[in-house]
Amino acid sequence: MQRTVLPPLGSSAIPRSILRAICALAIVAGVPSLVLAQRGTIAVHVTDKGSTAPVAQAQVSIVGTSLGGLTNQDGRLTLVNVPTGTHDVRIVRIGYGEQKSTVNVTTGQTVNLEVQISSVAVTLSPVVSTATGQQNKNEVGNAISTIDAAKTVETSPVSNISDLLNSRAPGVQIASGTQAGSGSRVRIRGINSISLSNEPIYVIDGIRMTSDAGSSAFGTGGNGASRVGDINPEEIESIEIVKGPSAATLYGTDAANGVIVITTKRGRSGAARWNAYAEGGVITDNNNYPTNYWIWGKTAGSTISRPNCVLTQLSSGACTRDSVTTYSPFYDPDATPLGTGNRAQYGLQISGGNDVLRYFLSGENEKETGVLELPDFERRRFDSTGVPIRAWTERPNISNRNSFRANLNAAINSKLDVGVTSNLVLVNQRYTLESNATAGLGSQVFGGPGYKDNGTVAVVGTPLTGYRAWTPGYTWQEKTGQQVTRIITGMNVLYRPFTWNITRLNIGNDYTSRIDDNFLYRGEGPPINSTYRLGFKGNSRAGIRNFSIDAATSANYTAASWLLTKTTAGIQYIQYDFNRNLASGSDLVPGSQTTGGGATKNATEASTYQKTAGFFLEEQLSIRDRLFFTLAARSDQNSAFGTDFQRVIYPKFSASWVLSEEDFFPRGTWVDNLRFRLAAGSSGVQPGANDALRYYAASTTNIRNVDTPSAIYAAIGNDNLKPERTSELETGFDLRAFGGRANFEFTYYNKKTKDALILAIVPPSVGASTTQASNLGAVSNSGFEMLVNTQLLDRGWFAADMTLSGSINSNKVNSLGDTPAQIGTTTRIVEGYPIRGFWAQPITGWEDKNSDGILTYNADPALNEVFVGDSAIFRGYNQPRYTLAATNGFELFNKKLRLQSLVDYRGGSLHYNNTERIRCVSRRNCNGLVNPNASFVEQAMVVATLNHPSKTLDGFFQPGAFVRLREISATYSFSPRVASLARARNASITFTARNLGFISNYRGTDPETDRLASVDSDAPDDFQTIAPPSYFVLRFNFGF
Amino acid sequence: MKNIINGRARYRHAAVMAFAVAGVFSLASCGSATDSLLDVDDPDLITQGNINSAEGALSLRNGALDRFRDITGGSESTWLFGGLLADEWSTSSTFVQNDETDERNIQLNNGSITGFFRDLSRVRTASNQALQALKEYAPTQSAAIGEMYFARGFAEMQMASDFCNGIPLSDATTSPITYGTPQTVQQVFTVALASLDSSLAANTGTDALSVSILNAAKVARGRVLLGLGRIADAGAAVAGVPTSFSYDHTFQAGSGDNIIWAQPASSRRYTIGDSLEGNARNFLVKNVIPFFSSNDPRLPVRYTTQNSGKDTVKSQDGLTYSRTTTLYARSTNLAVTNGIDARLIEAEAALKAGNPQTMLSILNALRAAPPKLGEIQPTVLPPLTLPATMAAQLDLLFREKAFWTFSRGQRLGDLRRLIRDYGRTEQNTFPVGEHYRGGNYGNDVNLPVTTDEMNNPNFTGCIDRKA
Repeated sequence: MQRTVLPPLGSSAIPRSILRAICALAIVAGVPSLVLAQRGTIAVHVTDKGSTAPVAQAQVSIVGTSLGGLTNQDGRLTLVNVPTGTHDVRIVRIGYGEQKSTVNVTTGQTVNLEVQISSVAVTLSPVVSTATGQQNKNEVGNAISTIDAAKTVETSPVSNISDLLNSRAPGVQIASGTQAGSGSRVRIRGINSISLSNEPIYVIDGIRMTSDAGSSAFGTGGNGASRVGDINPEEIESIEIVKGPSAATLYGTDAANGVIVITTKRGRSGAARWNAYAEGGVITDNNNYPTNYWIWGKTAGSTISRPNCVLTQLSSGACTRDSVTTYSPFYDPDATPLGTGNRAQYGLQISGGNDVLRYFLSGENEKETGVLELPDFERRRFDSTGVPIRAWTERPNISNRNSFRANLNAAINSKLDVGVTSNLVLVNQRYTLESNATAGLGSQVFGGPGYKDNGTVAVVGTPLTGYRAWTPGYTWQEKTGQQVTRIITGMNVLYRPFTWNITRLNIGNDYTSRIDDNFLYRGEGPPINSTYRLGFKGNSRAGIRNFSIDAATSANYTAASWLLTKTTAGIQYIQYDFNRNLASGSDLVPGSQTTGGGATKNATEASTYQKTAGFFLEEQLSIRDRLFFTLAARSDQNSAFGTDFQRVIYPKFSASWVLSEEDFFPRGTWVDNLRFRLAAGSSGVQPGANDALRYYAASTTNIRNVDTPSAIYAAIGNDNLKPERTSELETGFDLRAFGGRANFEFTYYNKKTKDALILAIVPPSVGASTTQASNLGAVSNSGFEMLVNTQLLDRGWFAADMTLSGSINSNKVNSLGDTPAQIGTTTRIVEGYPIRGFWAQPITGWEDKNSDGILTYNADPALNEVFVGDSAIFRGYNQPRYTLAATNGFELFNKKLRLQSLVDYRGGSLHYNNTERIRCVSRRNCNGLVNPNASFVEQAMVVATLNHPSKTLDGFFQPGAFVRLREISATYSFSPRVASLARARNASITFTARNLGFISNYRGTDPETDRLASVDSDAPDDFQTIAPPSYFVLRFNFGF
Repeated sequence: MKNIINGRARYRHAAVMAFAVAGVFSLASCGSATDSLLDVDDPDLITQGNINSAEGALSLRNGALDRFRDITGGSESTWLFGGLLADEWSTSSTFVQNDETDERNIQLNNGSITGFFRDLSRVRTASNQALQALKEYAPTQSAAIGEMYFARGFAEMQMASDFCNGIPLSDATTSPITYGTPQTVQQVFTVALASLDSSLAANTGTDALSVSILNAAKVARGRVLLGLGRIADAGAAVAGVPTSFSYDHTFQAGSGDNIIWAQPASSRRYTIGDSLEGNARNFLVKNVIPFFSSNDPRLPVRYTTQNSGKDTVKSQDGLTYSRTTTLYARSTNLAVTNGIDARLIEAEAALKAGNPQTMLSILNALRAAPPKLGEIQPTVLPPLTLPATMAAQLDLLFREKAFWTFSRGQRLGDLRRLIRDYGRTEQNTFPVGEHYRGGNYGNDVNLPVTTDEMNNPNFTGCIDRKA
């Protein structure tokens, strides 16, 4: 391993290296300093065909050149230095049909071009972002989903980027954490990797964005913070989802799981426009949580009725039933840990400028308080004992975010545009320990008995009130918080030295300062063990930096009247640094809140550094502006590759054919536009930063009563480690029909991941690390996606529209490279089957042979009543295969009132009801174990896992399919006259609601309950987790 | 559109293409530039080059001792799980891994047992790495070398005592890794014997540390010989080891608690074993020593109570009353081998040799002057009388041993030896009957080598699950 110490950015070493690359690129851009041809000017004026009003923000481009721009508030744009000759001028704008006009430019003259564009019923973005810049959608051979974020946040219950993405793009699946401020799992076109992350990467305004999941030094036992959640959706103009390697090739190593491309809002030339918004609402938990059961009975020889008999003991006679009681703190108003959460958001945005300088300024405060709230009986306890109720004890889950953004765009001259984006985010949030945390709420609230008066909390002796071992007040005395200061800055340069050349440069730095806090006063907290209540403080300070440079130059060339070419060469450098110091102190002095107040102190340091340098070359051909070919390759080096592996090359090819533009295509039919597309390409995912290295770690051990430093063999390493490589073939078609009233997209994809990194289990006998990263596997994903947008009806006073998006995914492990199947307790990775599918010995049936209404296991086959298969078999996917989302909109009163709903179906998978499993196996309070009225299905799943030798979990893998009313909203736009009463240009009021109900055969609380949704895991787990809450929000928008 | 193919344009495009391609490829081929751009130096890591020195060798020795501590009281280990499978402890946790071990019905994917076997193997690997380094960079450190052989031999002995027939012993110090083939318990005891012989041979010093390690290796060697059924040899092997001797693993708050205290007493995840289980529901468990009910001075026990002194505290599972011992506290030293072990080996050798009175004398000598055990100094115990039958004498010896060595990783191996060497059966040796969590005890008499070992190309599973 090299010992070179890299100086921080700003010192001489990095800039030299980077500048070397930039200079080379500049040479590429500048060399062909050819003689300027004769020039003229085109003055474009764009108006709406229906209203004749000027159309601002229309994108004007001269086909085959780098010349173009956006129209101003008056719908005007002047293009200078246009070469003489005949040119096609293309005008596109979201909400309008594309318009193309031909002009003839003569030397020194100005051509006035008046263009009228027609609005279309279905509004789709006509351009998409690619790694080489903005492109006309027709030219791209891939399906790229675009979300109109600016519009969506105004009319939908959106708290974060995950809400923006959820159910709005085919092939994109979101699973969200259930605490306020927690992150989400995002999977695009299935799961590629067996052992590496399957999260997409994020690019914001052309620079790489930090998107770490589970971003905290202190776990919650479930969901927690994500750096994606820091970004304010209100500042986003649009989100594009680059789905597969065939589209993401030029984004390089790390992009195989897709790319989320975020574009924030920009200033629009004209007078300053102020937009103010405010929203407020409530968050409630309307879920059906399980009831706790308890059988009271007498054991043999006893005359005293005791609790905790189970059905099988009633059947065997080991216990005689006296009574059955039921209870759950969830349904006891005095004991429930669920209250009413709330959400408030206030923001102000200003946009304006002129043709030279445009600005967008934004500021917002958002605060969300989750549903968890100290129960009444706990308040009384605190009050009676004089123990103060701390803020984090009263409301343990709060997220507070302040976000400020300033985006400036300057047209320095006709050849140079410079944009500067800057974003300051301040986050202060805290989470409750949940789910799998020993001190968490879940095991207590789900695990109590079937009665309320169940004794006292161990050691401290306060009433349990139906909770298992301690009550919420103790759990919530422990604070798990986080403060984030994040600064994202970027500079985007567009340089058009020649009409045939455009060079762009994006430099950005995303820096996060993160302070994590874990604190418990001495004498507080749950009596988990003898030392917990001695108090502790953990303080972690982390710096996370994502620095990226992305530069490319493109040359356009009209090779023939029917053939345009575009050659692009580019470089990219990405540097991810993570540095963390963690200090902790335990056994605190009473009243102390610092690590220094602990009798036992500890300090650790952790670092992760990862760098990627890549180069790419792309050639695009445009034949008659209707048939487009793209051929490209990218080469990457990465600091995480093994020493024996140096470079990876990813190729790409795509074709797009606008069939409806061909002369032979029949005119005047219901088809407006028909395009076929085909793309193939590769991308990768880099290994973990240290996966290639064999190394030791420092440790401290006590030897003969002296704490002694020691070296521990930590990792075997792998010199041959290289990135995973995923190749994809994608094909499909886009159809626009019925005068723009319907749009249909269909895509088939087939992805194959080879050299899949497997964290191969190292046999325990080796006595080393538990796993070793090796490029052993192969995985395939294939599937279909479809999107339908329709304007069903538009009668002025009433309009109806609908969007349907759906997807199907098939996932399979093709090879494990001669390593054995990876067998977990619930899931397995087996060749020929989906990654981490559920496996179990199946429950094949049951029979109540003695007709006592209770199923039991008996080793004697003649007496056994629950039957289980001999060997484990595949039981199902662990994440949905099928998705279908329907968004229906109705507009009334001349479109003043819009009603919208989003209904979502997901299916084709099982969900692990681990909550019920532990209630049956350990808590002994579950329906199938204790309730005499439990169905045989529920009894069988308990007997099979508790009493049958197989201990099969089969019964707890339950149908995960559901249909959910995910969102509804009603937006009323006031007339200008009414708006003017508030001195506003426009005004609207929106009522939105999220997660209103679902239909499912799942036996647990909610098939979307998943404690691991926000920690980049592919093993969804409903384990003692509070289920998703419902939001009801009222929002006001004012434009000035 | 007008056809505008002309020479200038053709030249322009060719030039752009050429320079673009040349530029990109020149950058791509600038190996030194990108290499330096991609250099990283992670301060978390210690490389092999960092430890190629005498100090480095000693840090590896320390690392091996860290691993060694993990298989006794530094981490949850077979010292607790062996006691669950036998009769020292009963489960009172919420973990199925614990429950199924207590129920003697262990699944092959038991993650805890996987970890214990890995920890034992890590002692072997770390010891071997340290031995290589010590021999190269610090060859005069004979005590350290002897201690490494002792640690390795002890781990091998513990594997053979607790795990099934079919234990693979791999070697991670070779490149590529040498994967072990399944060995019988007897074969692994033989390997352990060789390691301990090497310890005795290498450790030639006369200083206190060297002598301590020497005695530790002698006692471990005696236990290995018991495992091999060479009981007379075992007695001879420990001759001369003082009763007061103890080779300890030590603990401090900053570097880890004594887990034999932390898991049962602090976290209440294990409860002292007894013949009546299920709180007051009194499920009778056959064959077991009633460690809780006996109230033996060597194992002071009590129900955990509230701060007020009233009400019985329930265990981590929220159901089972917590029965704890004050034998160990948070940082109490844990005897890996000691002089008591030596005397008990001699007692068994005497019984086996047909000298039960000698056995009784040894046992009564210990009872008359009880050595300190953990945190407690037992009171003088009344002398024992010799039962009439050999079977009863054997029961007496093993019961005495069980109290003297409580939760020190010997009970499971002793129960297995009762079956293997003394003709007992599983049904009259291990806990049987209805388990208080429902269902009956299973038939396991050892810990399995679990599913993860299937990644070893030479391993297909335990040869058998016999004692």
